[in-house]
Amino acid sequence: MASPLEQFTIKPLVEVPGGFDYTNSSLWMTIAVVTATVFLVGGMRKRAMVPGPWQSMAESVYEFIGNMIRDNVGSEGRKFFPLIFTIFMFVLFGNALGLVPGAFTYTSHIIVTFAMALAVFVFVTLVGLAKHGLHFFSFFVPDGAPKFLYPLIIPIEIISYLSRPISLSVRLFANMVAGHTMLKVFAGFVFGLGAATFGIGALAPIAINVLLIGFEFMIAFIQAYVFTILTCLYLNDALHLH
Amino acid sequence: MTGNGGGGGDGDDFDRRLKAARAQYEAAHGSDRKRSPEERSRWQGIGYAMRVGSELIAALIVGVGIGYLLDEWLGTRPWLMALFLFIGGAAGVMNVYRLVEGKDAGIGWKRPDHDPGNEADDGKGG
Repeated sequence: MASPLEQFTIKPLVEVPGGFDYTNSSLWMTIAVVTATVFLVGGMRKRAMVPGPWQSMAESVYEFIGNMIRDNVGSEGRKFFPLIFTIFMFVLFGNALGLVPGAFTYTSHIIVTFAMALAVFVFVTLVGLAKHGLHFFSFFVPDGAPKFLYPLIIPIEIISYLSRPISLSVRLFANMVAGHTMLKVFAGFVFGLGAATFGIGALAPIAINVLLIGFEFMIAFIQAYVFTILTCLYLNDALHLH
Repeated sequence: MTGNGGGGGDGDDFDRRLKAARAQYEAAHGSDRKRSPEERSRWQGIGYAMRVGSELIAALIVGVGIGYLLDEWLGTRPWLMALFLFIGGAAGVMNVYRLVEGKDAGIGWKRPDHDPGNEADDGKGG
């Protein structure tokens, strides 16, 4: 039987010299981008005053992110809407399409999530520097702390700041890997138990997998939500220092 | 689309009334619309649960990583790594503390959408 981790193997589909192979991961990223584009462009094609089901879905995603930015960043965050919306859609579609049987979940690779988290981190830091200049570094000096504690507190604050991309990427990656591995492990039990008990024992792992699939859909959405809301909060930090 | 609700079939009229209603709503409730407290706390609750562990570990990883690299560079193995292990651990605890306090992982972070009562409270604290 295949190992539960085999689903995470990266396979080159089109070999390109110089390490630029088009892999199954790239394929699913392409599918996610195309699906998201079709979902939004197709949904808004009619621009009906009273939206149909499809347009209504596209609009509710837009409103969801719009409200998230208003709630967490305020009206200054409006100009970052395209970035935040893109991040949300890319993570959400990566997580959700990964649940299609046989699909590859690109968000289950730490390099993908880390690259996104690092891009967010660098971007947010640059926004902070551009808006506040060198005053940005006052970020690392907590208000109201006694001066003699600065040598201890400032390194702690800097490490706390640098830990952001790590926690952002590890959370998404770990949740995706854990969920998909668990599904595969229980799917493996179906054959093992089924063969040993003339099929009756297979019912229990199937029932568990049904529950897990529902749970995984929730996780797929929540992880996209958490990734996006943290981007908003970091942006808010950079825009409104102390 | 001949019902009374459609405004006599004139789309622009509906659009105009929608804008007016929205402006009126925003005048009454502020332009930063909020979700209801229950809904907000439910989402944030699940979000917190997902975040606490990773915030704790991430700072520790960064601390050990910085210590390790400094050791490689300065040839002081293993002392700086041990030192930064503790600083990283402290940063992790600080992250979680901020998260639970509602200040989030941010340093000096304040919610932009406080109720007036909360705002006064935060002014004292941060």
